[in-house]
Amino acid sequence: MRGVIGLVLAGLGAFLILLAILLPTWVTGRVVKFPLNEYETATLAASNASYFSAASLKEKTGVSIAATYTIKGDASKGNSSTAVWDEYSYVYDLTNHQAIEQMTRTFAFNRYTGQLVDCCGASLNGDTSVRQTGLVGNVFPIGTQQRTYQVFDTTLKRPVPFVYSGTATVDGIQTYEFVENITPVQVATLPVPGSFVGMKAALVKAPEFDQLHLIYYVDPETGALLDVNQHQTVTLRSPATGATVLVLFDADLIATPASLHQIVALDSSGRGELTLLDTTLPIVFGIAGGVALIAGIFLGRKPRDDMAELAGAARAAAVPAAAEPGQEHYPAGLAGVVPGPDDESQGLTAQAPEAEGPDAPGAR
Amino acid sequence: MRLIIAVVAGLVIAVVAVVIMESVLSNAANGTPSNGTLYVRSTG
Repeated sequence: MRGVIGLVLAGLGAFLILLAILLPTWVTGRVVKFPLNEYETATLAASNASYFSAASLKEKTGVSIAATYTIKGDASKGNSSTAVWDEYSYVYDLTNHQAIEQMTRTFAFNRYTGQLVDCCGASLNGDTSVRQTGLVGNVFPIGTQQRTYQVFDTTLKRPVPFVYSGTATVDGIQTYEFVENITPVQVATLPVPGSFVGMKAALVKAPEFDQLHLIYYVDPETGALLDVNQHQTVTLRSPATGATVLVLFDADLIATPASLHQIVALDSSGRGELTLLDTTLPIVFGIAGGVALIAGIFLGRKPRDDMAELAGAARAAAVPAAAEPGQEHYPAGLAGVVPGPDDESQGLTAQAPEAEGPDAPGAR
Repeated sequence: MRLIIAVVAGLVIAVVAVVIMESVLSNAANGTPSNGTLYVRSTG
Protein backbone atom coordinates (compact mmCIF):
# COMPACT_ATOMS: atom_id res chain seq x y z
CA MET A 1 0.00 0.00 0.00
CA ARG A 2 2.83 2.38 0.90
CA GLY A 3 4.43 1.58 -2.41
CA VAL A 4 1.31 2.51 -4.33
CA ILE A 5 0.96 5.77 -2.43
CA GLY A 6 4.60 6.48 -3.12
CA LEU A 7 4.18 5.92 -6.83
CA VAL A 8 1.11 8.16 -6.93
CA LEU A 9 2.94 10.88 -5.01
CA ALA A 10 5.97 10.62 -7.28
CA GLY A 11 3.78 10.96 -10.35
CA LEU A 12 1.89 13.86 -8.81
CA GLY A 13 5.14 15.52 -7.84
CA ALA A 14 6.53 15.25 -11.36
CA PHE A 15 3.23 16.57 -12.71
CA LEU A 16 3.24 19.62 -10.45
CA ILE A 17 6.92 20.41 -11.00
CA LEU A 18 6.54 20.34 -14.76
CA LEU A 19 3.41 22.47 -14.46
CA ALA A 20 5.37 24.96 -12.33
CA ILE A 21 7.96 25.19 -15.08
CA LEU A 22 5.57 25.35 -18.03
CA LEU A 23 3.14 27.90 -16.59
CA PRO A 24 5.47 30.92 -16.71
CA THR A 25 7.62 29.77 -19.62
CA TRP A 26 4.98 28.43 -22.00
CA VAL A 27 1.37 28.89 -20.94
CA THR A 28 1.54 32.58 -20.03
CA GLY A 29 3.16 33.53 -23.32
CA ARG A 30 0.50 31.66 -25.28
CA VAL A 31 -2.59 32.53 -23.27
CA VAL A 32 -2.05 36.10 -22.17
CA LYS A 33 -2.88 38.43 -24.99
CA PHE A 34 -4.93 41.49 -25.71
CA PRO A 35 -8.69 40.91 -25.85
CA LEU A 36 -10.90 40.79 -28.91
CA ASN A 37 -13.96 42.38 -27.36
CA GLU A 38 -12.45 45.34 -25.59
CA TYR A 39 -14.85 48.10 -24.65
CA GLU A 40 -13.52 51.04 -22.71
CA THR A 41 -13.84 54.76 -22.46
CA ALA A 42 -11.32 57.25 -21.11
CA THR A 43 -11.34 61.00 -20.83
CA LEU A 44 -8.60 63.60 -20.92
CA ALA A 45 -9.21 67.15 -19.84
CA ALA A 46 -7.51 70.49 -20.28
CA SER A 47 -8.11 73.96 -18.96
CA ASN A 48 -7.03 77.25 -20.48
CA ALA A 49 -7.02 75.72 -23.95
CA SER A 50 -7.33 77.49 -27.28
CA TYR A 51 -8.77 76.44 -30.59
CA PHE A 52 -10.20 77.87 -33.77
CA SER A 53 -13.92 77.44 -33.98
CA ALA A 54 -15.01 76.49 -37.47
CA ALA A 55 -18.60 77.30 -36.52
CA SER A 56 -17.98 80.89 -35.47
CA LEU A 57 -14.78 81.36 -37.48
CA LYS A 58 -13.14 82.73 -34.36
CA GLU A 59 -10.32 81.67 -32.10
CA LYS A 60 -11.55 80.58 -28.68
CA THR A 61 -9.17 81.00 -25.80
CA GLY A 62 -9.14 80.11 -22.12
CA VAL A 63 -11.62 77.30 -22.55
CA SER A 64 -11.92 73.96 -20.81
CA ILE A 65 -12.05 70.99 -23.09
CA ALA A 66 -12.59 67.26 -22.71
CA ALA A 67 -11.32 64.60 -25.08
CA THR A 68 -13.19 61.33 -24.82
CA TYR A 69 -11.73 58.18 -26.30
CA THR A 70 -13.83 55.08 -26.77
CA ILE A 71 -12.59 51.73 -27.97
CA LYS A 72 -14.79 48.86 -28.99
CA GLY A 73 -13.36 45.58 -30.14
CA ASP A 74 -14.85 43.93 -33.19
CA ALA A 75 -14.53 40.29 -32.18
CA SER A 76 -16.05 39.02 -35.44
CA LYS A 77 -13.12 40.45 -37.42
CA GLY A 78 -10.42 39.16 -35.10
CA ASN A 79 -8.91 35.78 -34.53
CA SER A 80 -6.60 34.03 -32.09
CA SER A 81 -3.63 36.19 -33.04
CA THR A 82 -5.12 39.42 -34.40
CA ALA A 83 -7.55 41.80 -32.76
CA VAL A 84 -9.56 44.48 -34.54
CA TRP A 85 -10.63 47.50 -32.53
CA ASP A 86 -12.70 50.52 -33.49
CA GLU A 87 -11.73 53.81 -31.89
CA TYR A 88 -13.78 56.93 -31.65
CA SER A 89 -12.51 60.16 -30.17
CA TYR A 90 -14.46 63.28 -29.52
CA VAL A 91 -13.02 66.61 -28.42
CA TYR A 92 -15.52 68.98 -26.85
CA ASP A 93 -15.42 72.57 -25.65
CA LEU A 94 -16.92 72.46 -22.17
CA THR A 95 -16.93 76.24 -21.85
CA ASN A 96 -18.86 77.04 -25.01
CA HIS A 97 -20.56 73.66 -25.35
CA GLN A 98 -19.24 73.12 -28.81
CA ALA A 99 -17.76 70.14 -30.58
CA ILE A 100 -14.18 70.71 -31.67
CA GLU A 101 -13.20 67.56 -33.46
CA GLN A 102 -13.91 63.89 -33.82
CA MET A 103 -12.00 61.00 -35.25
CA THR A 104 -12.74 57.42 -36.15
CA ARG A 105 -10.18 54.74 -36.56
CA THR A 106 -10.24 51.02 -37.18
CA PHE A 107 -7.03 49.17 -36.54
CA ALA A 108 -5.88 45.57 -36.41
CA PHE A 109 -2.96 44.46 -34.33
CA ASN A 110 -1.08 41.45 -33.07
CA ARG A 111 -2.63 40.36 -29.79
CA TYR A 112 0.73 39.38 -28.32
CA THR A 113 3.03 42.19 -29.46
CA GLY A 114 0.68 45.13 -30.05
CA GLN A 115 2.16 45.63 -33.53
CA LEU A 116 -0.28 46.94 -36.12
CA VAL A 117 -1.37 44.59 -38.89
CA ASP A 118 -2.52 45.95 -42.23
CA CYS A 119 -5.75 44.06 -42.64
CA CYS A 120 -9.36 43.67 -41.66
CA GLY A 121 -10.64 47.02 -42.92
CA ALA A 122 -8.16 49.21 -41.06
CA SER A 123 -8.92 52.88 -41.66
CA LEU A 124 -8.42 56.38 -40.35
CA ASN A 125 -11.42 58.69 -40.57
CA GLY A 126 -12.82 56.29 -43.14
CA ASP A 127 -9.72 56.41 -45.28
CA THR A 128 -8.56 52.85 -45.88
CA SER A 129 -5.54 53.98 -47.90
CA VAL A 130 -3.72 55.03 -44.72
CA ARG A 131 -1.29 52.23 -43.94
CA GLN A 132 -1.03 51.90 -40.18
CA THR A 133 2.31 50.45 -39.09
CA GLY A 134 4.36 50.26 -35.92
CA LEU A 135 3.03 49.79 -32.44
CA VAL A 136 -0.67 50.35 -31.92
CA GLY A 137 -0.13 52.90 -29.14
CA ASN A 138 -3.30 52.14 -27.22
CA VAL A 139 -1.40 49.25 -25.68
CA PHE A 140 2.25 48.37 -25.46
CA PRO A 141 3.65 44.84 -25.58
CA ILE A 142 2.99 42.69 -22.55
CA GLY A 143 6.36 42.82 -20.83
CA THR A 144 7.26 46.27 -22.13
CA GLN A 145 10.98 46.93 -22.22
CA GLN A 146 13.06 49.98 -21.45
CA ARG A 147 13.72 50.97 -25.03
CA THR A 148 12.40 53.17 -27.81
CA TYR A 149 9.23 51.97 -29.55
CA GLN A 150 7.92 53.08 -32.93
CA VAL A 151 4.28 54.00 -32.36
CA PHE A 152 1.80 54.94 -35.07
CA ASP A 153 0.79 58.60 -34.92
CA THR A 154 -2.69 59.29 -36.23
CA THR A 155 -1.92 62.92 -37.01
CA LEU A 156 1.33 62.33 -38.86
CA LYS A 157 0.03 59.03 -40.22
CA ARG A 158 3.33 57.28 -39.68
CA PRO A 159 5.22 55.61 -36.82
CA VAL A 160 7.21 57.93 -34.59
CA PRO A 161 9.73 57.11 -31.84
CA PHE A 162 8.52 56.90 -28.26
CA VAL A 163 11.68 57.18 -26.22
CA TYR A 164 11.97 55.46 -22.86
CA SER A 165 12.77 58.16 -20.34
CA GLY A 166 12.53 56.56 -16.90
CA THR A 167 10.05 55.22 -14.42
CA ALA A 168 7.16 56.84 -12.61
CA THR A 169 4.49 55.69 -10.21
CA VAL A 170 0.84 55.96 -11.23
CA ASP A 171 -1.64 55.21 -8.46
CA GLY A 172 0.89 52.94 -6.79
CA ILE A 173 1.83 51.09 -9.97
CA GLN A 174 5.39 51.36 -11.25
CA THR A 175 5.27 52.48 -14.88
CA TYR A 176 7.68 53.13 -17.70
CA GLU A 177 7.64 56.62 -19.10
CA PHE A 178 7.83 57.07 -22.88
CA VAL A 179 8.11 60.46 -24.52
CA GLU A 180 7.16 61.50 -28.03
CA ASN A 181 8.52 64.86 -29.09
CA ILE A 182 7.42 66.35 -32.35
CA THR A 183 8.91 69.66 -33.26
CA PRO A 184 6.67 71.78 -35.49
CA VAL A 185 6.11 69.85 -38.67
CA GLN A 186 3.78 70.58 -41.56
CA VAL A 187 1.00 68.05 -41.70
CA ALA A 188 -1.39 69.60 -44.20
CA THR A 189 -2.26 72.59 -46.33
CA LEU A 190 -5.57 74.28 -45.67
CA PRO A 191 -7.51 76.57 -48.00
CA VAL A 192 -8.46 79.60 -45.90
CA PRO A 193 -9.66 83.17 -46.58
CA GLY A 194 -6.70 85.42 -47.25
CA SER A 195 -7.76 87.73 -44.43
CA PHE A 196 -7.05 84.90 -41.94
CA VAL A 197 -3.39 84.95 -42.76
CA GLY A 198 -3.04 88.67 -43.47
CA MET A 199 -3.20 88.40 -47.24
CA LYS A 200 -5.38 90.16 -49.75
CA ALA A 201 -6.28 87.13 -51.83
CA ALA A 202 -9.79 85.80 -51.30
CA LEU A 203 -8.56 82.25 -50.73
CA VAL A 204 -5.06 81.05 -49.97
CA LYS A 205 -3.50 77.71 -49.11
CA ALA A 206 -1.89 77.96 -45.70
CA PRO A 207 0.39 75.32 -44.20
CA GLU A 208 -0.81 73.62 -41.02
CA PHE A 209 1.88 72.76 -38.46
CA ASP A 210 1.69 70.27 -35.66
CA GLN A 211 3.78 70.26 -32.51
CA LEU A 212 3.51 67.71 -29.74
CA HIS A 213 5.00 66.73 -26.43
CA LEU A 214 3.42 63.49 -25.34
CA ILE A 215 4.21 61.40 -22.28
CA TYR A 216 2.90 57.87 -21.90
CA TYR A 217 2.95 55.99 -18.60
CA VAL A 218 2.91 52.29 -19.37
CA ASP A 219 2.58 49.38 -16.99
CA PRO A 220 5.43 47.17 -18.25
CA GLU A 221 3.83 43.98 -16.96
CA THR A 222 0.52 44.28 -18.79
CA GLY A 223 1.43 46.78 -21.50
CA ALA A 224 -1.48 48.96 -20.43
CA LEU A 225 -1.35 52.68 -20.93
CA LEU A 226 -2.23 54.05 -17.49
CA ASP A 227 -1.75 57.76 -17.83
CA VAL A 228 -1.06 60.36 -20.49
CA ASN A 229 0.10 63.93 -20.60
CA GLN A 230 -0.42 65.39 -24.04
CA HIS A 231 0.46 68.93 -24.99
CA GLN A 232 -0.42 69.58 -28.58
CA THR A 233 -0.25 72.76 -30.58
CA VAL A 234 -1.63 73.02 -34.10
CA THR A 235 -1.10 76.26 -35.92
CA LEU A 236 -1.66 77.84 -39.28
CA ARG A 237 1.23 79.73 -40.81
CA SER A 238 1.35 82.43 -43.39
CA PRO A 239 2.31 81.04 -46.79
CA ALA A 240 4.15 84.30 -47.43
CA THR A 241 6.18 84.80 -44.26
CA GLY A 242 5.98 81.45 -42.50
CA ALA A 243 4.91 83.17 -39.30
CA THR A 244 2.23 81.67 -37.11
CA VAL A 245 -1.00 83.50 -37.83
CA LEU A 246 -3.65 81.31 -36.29
CA VAL A 247 -3.83 78.81 -33.45
CA LEU A 248 -6.04 75.95 -34.51
CA PHE A 249 -5.60 73.97 -31.32
CA ASP A 250 -3.51 74.34 -28.20
CA ALA A 251 -4.20 72.26 -25.12
CA ASP A 252 -2.37 70.40 -22.37
CA LEU A 253 -4.50 67.34 -21.86
CA ILE A 254 -4.23 65.03 -18.85
CA ALA A 255 -6.30 62.05 -17.77
CA THR A 256 -9.18 62.84 -15.46
CA PRO A 257 -9.02 61.27 -11.97
CA ALA A 258 -12.09 59.15 -12.75
CA SER A 259 -10.51 57.73 -15.92
CA LEU A 260 -7.25 57.15 -14.12
CA HIS A 261 -8.99 55.27 -11.34
CA GLN A 262 -10.95 53.14 -13.79
CA ILE A 263 -7.90 52.29 -15.86
CA VAL A 264 -5.73 51.47 -12.86
CA ALA A 265 -8.48 49.19 -11.51
CA LEU A 266 -8.66 47.42 -14.85
CA ASP A 267 -4.91 47.12 -14.99
CA SER A 268 -4.72 45.81 -11.45
CA SER A 269 -7.08 43.03 -12.41
CA GLY A 270 -4.83 42.11 -15.32
CA ARG A 271 -1.75 42.27 -13.13
CA GLY A 272 -3.42 39.93 -10.65
CA GLU A 273 -4.09 37.37 -13.35
CA LEU A 274 -0.57 37.66 -14.68
CA THR A 275 0.95 37.31 -11.21
CA LEU A 276 -1.19 34.24 -10.61
CA LEU A 277 0.04 32.58 -13.80
CA ASP A 278 3.61 33.84 -13.66
CA THR A 279 4.48 33.68 -9.99
CA THR A 280 1.92 32.42 -7.49
CA LEU A 281 0.87 29.17 -9.14
CA PRO A 282 4.41 28.19 -10.23
CA ILE A 283 5.71 28.69 -6.68
CA VAL A 284 2.84 26.75 -5.10
CA PHE A 285 3.05 23.96 -7.70
CA GLY A 286 6.83 23.85 -7.43
CA ILE A 287 6.88 23.50 -3.66
CA ALA A 288 4.00 21.04 -3.55
CA GLY A 289 5.50 19.06 -6.41
CA GLY A 290 8.92 18.90 -4.76
CA VAL A 291 7.46 17.68 -1.49
CA ALA A 292 5.27 15.12 -3.24
CA LEU A 293 8.15 13.85 -5.36
CA ILE A 294 10.49 13.42 -2.39
CA ALA A 295 7.79 11.71 -0.35
CA GLY A 296 6.91 9.54 -3.32
CA ILE A 297 10.51 8.48 -3.89
CA PHE A 298 10.91 7.70 -0.20
CA LEU A 299 7.74 5.64 -0.02
CA GLY A 300 8.19 4.13 -3.45
CA ARG A 301 11.68 2.85 -2.62
CA LYS A 302 10.63 1.40 0.71
CA PRO A 303 9.73 -2.12 -0.47
CA ARG A 304 13.12 -2.46 -2.10
CA ASP A 305 14.78 -1.29 1.09
CA ASP A 306 12.76 -3.85 2.99
CA MET A 307 14.01 -6.53 0.64
CA ALA A 308 17.56 -5.36 1.15
CA GLU A 309 17.10 -5.47 4.88
CA LEU A 310 15.59 -8.90 4.60
CA ALA A 311 18.48 -10.07 2.48
CA GLY A 312 20.91 -8.58 4.95
CA ALA A 313 19.24 -10.40 7.79
CA ALA A 314 19.37 -13.60 5.83
CA ARG A 315 23.08 -13.14 5.21
CA ALA A 316 23.65 -12.59 8.88
CA ALA A 317 21.72 -15.75 9.69
CA ALA A 318 23.83 -17.67 7.18
CA VAL A 319 27.13 -17.00 8.91
CA PRO A 320 26.93 -19.88 11.41
CA ALA A 321 25.95 -22.25 8.64
CA ALA A 322 29.11 -21.38 6.71
CA ALA A 323 31.15 -23.18 9.35
CA GLU A 324 29.73 -26.55 8.26
CA PRO A 325 32.00 -28.60 5.95
CA GLY A 326 31.25 -28.31 2.25
CA GLN A 327 28.89 -25.37 2.77
CA GLU A 328 31.43 -22.57 3.06
CA HIS A 329 31.23 -21.38 -0.60
CA TYR A 330 27.47 -20.84 -0.83
CA PRO A 331 25.46 -19.00 1.75
CA ALA A 332 22.91 -21.33 3.19
CA GLY A 333 20.54 -18.46 3.77
CA LEU A 334 20.40 -17.65 0.08
CA ALA A 335 19.92 -21.27 -0.76
CA GLY A 336 17.01 -21.26 1.61
CA VAL A 337 15.38 -18.20 -0.05
CA VAL A 338 15.81 -19.67 -3.52
CA PRO A 339 14.96 -23.31 -3.21
CA GLY A 340 15.52 -24.14 -6.83
CA PRO A 341 19.30 -23.91 -6.97
CA ASP A 342 19.67 -25.73 -3.71
CA ASP A 343 20.33 -29.12 -5.27
CA GLU A 344 22.66 -27.56 -7.78
CA SER A 345 24.60 -25.84 -5.08
CA GLN A 346 24.94 -29.10 -3.33
CA GLY A 347 26.47 -30.52 -6.47
CA LEU A 348 28.82 -27.63 -6.79
CA THR A 349 29.91 -27.83 -3.22
CA ALA A 350 30.76 -31.46 -3.78
CA GLN A 351 33.41 -30.31 -6.24
CA ALA A 352 34.63 -27.52 -4.06
CA PRO A 353 37.80 -29.22 -2.89
CA GLU A 354 39.07 -29.06 -6.49
CA ALA A 355 38.94 -25.27 -6.37
CA GLU A 356 42.37 -24.38 -5.23
CA GLY A 357 44.55 -21.34 -5.29
CA PRO A 358 44.86 -18.19 -3.27
CA ASP A 359 41.51 -16.76 -4.52
CA ALA A 360 39.51 -19.81 -3.84
CA PRO A 361 37.38 -19.24 -0.77
CA GLY A 362 38.15 -22.71 0.38
CA ALA A 363 41.84 -21.86 0.47
CA ARG A 364 41.41 -19.82 3.58
CA MET B 1 11.45 0.92 -12.36
CA ARG B 2 7.87 1.48 -11.22
CA LEU B 3 8.97 4.77 -9.72
CA ILE B 4 10.38 5.95 -13.03
CA ILE B 5 7.21 4.94 -14.82
CA ALA B 6 5.15 6.90 -12.29
CA VAL B 7 7.32 10.00 -12.74
CA VAL B 8 7.17 9.76 -16.53
CA ALA B 9 3.41 9.29 -16.36
CA GLY B 10 3.17 12.41 -14.23
CA LEU B 11 5.21 14.38 -16.77
CA VAL B 12 3.11 13.16 -19.68
CA ILE B 13 -0.11 14.06 -17.88
CA ALA B 14 1.33 17.49 -17.12
CA VAL B 15 2.12 18.10 -20.79
CA VAL B 16 -1.36 16.99 -21.81
CA ALA B 17 -2.89 19.17 -19.10
CA VAL B 18 -0.90 22.18 -20.25
CA VAL B 19 -1.94 21.69 -23.87
CA ILE B 20 -5.60 21.41 -22.87
CA MET B 21 -5.31 24.38 -20.52
CA GLU B 22 -3.72 26.49 -23.22
CA SER B 23 -6.37 25.54 -25.73
CA VAL B 24 -9.25 26.22 -23.37
CA LEU B 25 -7.90 29.50 -22.03
CA SER B 26 -6.79 30.76 -25.40
CA ASN B 27 -10.15 30.19 -27.03
CA ALA B 28 -12.53 30.87 -24.20
CA ALA B 29 -10.90 33.58 -22.11
CA ASN B 30 -10.59 35.98 -24.99
CA GLY B 31 -7.30 37.23 -23.72
CA THR B 32 -5.86 38.28 -20.43
CA PRO B 33 -5.41 40.88 -19.19
CA SER B 34 -8.29 42.95 -20.44
CA ASN B 35 -6.40 46.17 -20.41
CA GLY B 36 -6.30 48.29 -23.50
CA THR B 37 -6.45 51.80 -22.35
CA LEU B 38 -7.17 54.27 -24.86
CA TYR B 39 -5.46 57.50 -25.07
CA VAL B 40 -4.36 58.24 -28.54
CA ARG B 41 -3.84 61.69 -29.86
CA SER B 42 -6.40 62.74 -32.35
CA THR B 43 -6.69 66.44 -32.23
CA GLY B 44 -5.23 68.71 -34.77
